Amino acid sequence: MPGKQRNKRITFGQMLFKGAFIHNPALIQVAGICPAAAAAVSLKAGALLAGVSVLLLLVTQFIASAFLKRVPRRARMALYLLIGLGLVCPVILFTERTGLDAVEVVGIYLPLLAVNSLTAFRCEKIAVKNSVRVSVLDAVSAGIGYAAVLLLTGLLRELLGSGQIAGKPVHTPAVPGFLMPFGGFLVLGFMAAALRGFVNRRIPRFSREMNFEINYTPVIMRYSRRLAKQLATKAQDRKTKVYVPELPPLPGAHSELSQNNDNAPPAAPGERPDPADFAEAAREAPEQNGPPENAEAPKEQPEQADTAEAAQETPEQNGLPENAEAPKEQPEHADTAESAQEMPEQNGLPENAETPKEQPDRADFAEAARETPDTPPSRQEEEEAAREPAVTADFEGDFDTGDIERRLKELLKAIEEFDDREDEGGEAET
Amino acid sequence: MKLFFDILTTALYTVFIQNLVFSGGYGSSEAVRTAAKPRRFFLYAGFIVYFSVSVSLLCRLADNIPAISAAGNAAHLAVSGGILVLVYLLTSVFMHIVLKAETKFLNALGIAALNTLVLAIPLINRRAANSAAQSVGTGLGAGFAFIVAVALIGRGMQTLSANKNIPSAFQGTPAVFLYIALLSLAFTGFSGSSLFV
Repeated sequence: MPGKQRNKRITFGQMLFKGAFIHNPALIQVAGICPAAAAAVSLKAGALLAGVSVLLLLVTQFIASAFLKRVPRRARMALYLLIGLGLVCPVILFTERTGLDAVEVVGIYLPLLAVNSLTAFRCEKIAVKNSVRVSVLDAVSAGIGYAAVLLLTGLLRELLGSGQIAGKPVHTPAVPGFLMPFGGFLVLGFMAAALRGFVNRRIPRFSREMNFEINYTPVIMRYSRRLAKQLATKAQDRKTKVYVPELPPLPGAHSELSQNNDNAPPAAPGERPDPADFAEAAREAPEQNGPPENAEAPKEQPEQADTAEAAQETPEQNGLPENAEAPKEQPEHADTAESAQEMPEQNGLPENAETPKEQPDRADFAEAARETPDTPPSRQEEEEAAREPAVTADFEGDFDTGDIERRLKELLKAIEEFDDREDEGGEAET
Repeated sequence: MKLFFDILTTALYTVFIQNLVFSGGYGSSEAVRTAAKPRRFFLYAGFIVYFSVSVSLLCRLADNIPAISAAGNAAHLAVSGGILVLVYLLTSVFMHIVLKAETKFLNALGIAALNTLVLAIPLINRRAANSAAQSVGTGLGAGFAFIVAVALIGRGMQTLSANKNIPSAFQGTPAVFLYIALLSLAFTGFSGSSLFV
């Protein structure tokens, strides 16, 4: 069992170091912030919250790992809440009967531990995917890290907010603002900075693991070269297979694009090619290659958006100097040898060959260049094109073709679908 | 008309004067995570508004039963939690069977239900002895407070993540916490609390 072997290799020390320190639940993963920011206003309150949280985490993760792996996720979420209620209600009864003064300070935040996001987060991310041993060790390590944050936050806020430590006065100026959630967030911020600073300085190899990922999806589409570049870079950085739709020649753009491409500079060696430039090449290439009508495109299409391939084809097709260097081949995407073999066949296809009925699922800009029909625009089309505003080759014109918008939206949708797949089964992941 | 104004004033108070996320810290973890991945923003926001309103109203109606209203804190928490679980399961089954909802919607439903903001509303209503209309207003306000919080945090996070002049120790979560602290300070000011005296 590879899973068991993997579990055996993990020692408690490693889990404790990572779970409590590097991936601290509160300071790094932003889970269970509510009690820490709002309720941990004294050392006693912090201790009470920490004790209940660790108990809750341990029990819930143990039950989730031992019994709930085959339960559907939507039912598991309800069970976490029921388990939490089953543990917190007796604690409330106990604290009310013993008359702990911390209960008054904690208020309704103690009952709210039953729905602490930390519990669901650890259970869904760790417990239901690992053995009981690993789950319990993770609960202990995460619990220690979370408890340390609660205790330290309580201590600092009590000291700064009321000038006391564990109820004993200390001669320091008190600022009551620290007893409010504002003070809690402030203390948490500086504690997180201290943790990050320590890791950056002492153990920098772990600093990358402490990054907080922000996936901002732009809502408003902007028709600019910059956005196209950002989207393509984002897609490549995530190593996703993104459908980059082919761009047919835009009305009225033929002559202008040809002129622009004649003067286009060659791609610098090793530089990431600009997608907008490939789109230009895609629109312009058929005119120069001149594939006959009804030509049959190759059945096997490359599966990825292949910028390197397009970049290699561009110098020849666009009339660029022959000594211009193509960009370096990217192992994940480039398929230059294949494209070199395909090009002569496509340019010299027999006239009776059939046009493919379906477009490939994942095309690249070079494919778009080969497949774009080379029919000369009719008179009506030319008149329409003359009425439309000129389209510049670098996408910076103020054109109102809905086509570009639609295709950029498709690209965005593809990235979002990738995001959906990425966090499938772990919605609470940071 | 009085009913409408009760709901409206309570909701506005909960959103702007005492924003539950910034002034109480309720649901702050979920607000930060939703702000970091805003593509589910409207989904979470809708679910949280739905859960906070429905659970708030149902718990307030349950408080009309003498046995429940006379119960202690632990028993009241058990009743409120039970109502939340019931509402969640019924909604989940309805969405799964009747609406044929996708898995990602059902997953988002669970996260929205298992939220301190949602369970806090019945407890706050009980402490404040709110009427049924005020309970609905509080629930509505809590949901919109979450939306306001996510929008403000999300905008700030974009600006912070684009700023390369932030020291490396403060990049990421520390900067986000400090930004939320400033927002919380602003909302505390709206509520008239004294910070330094």
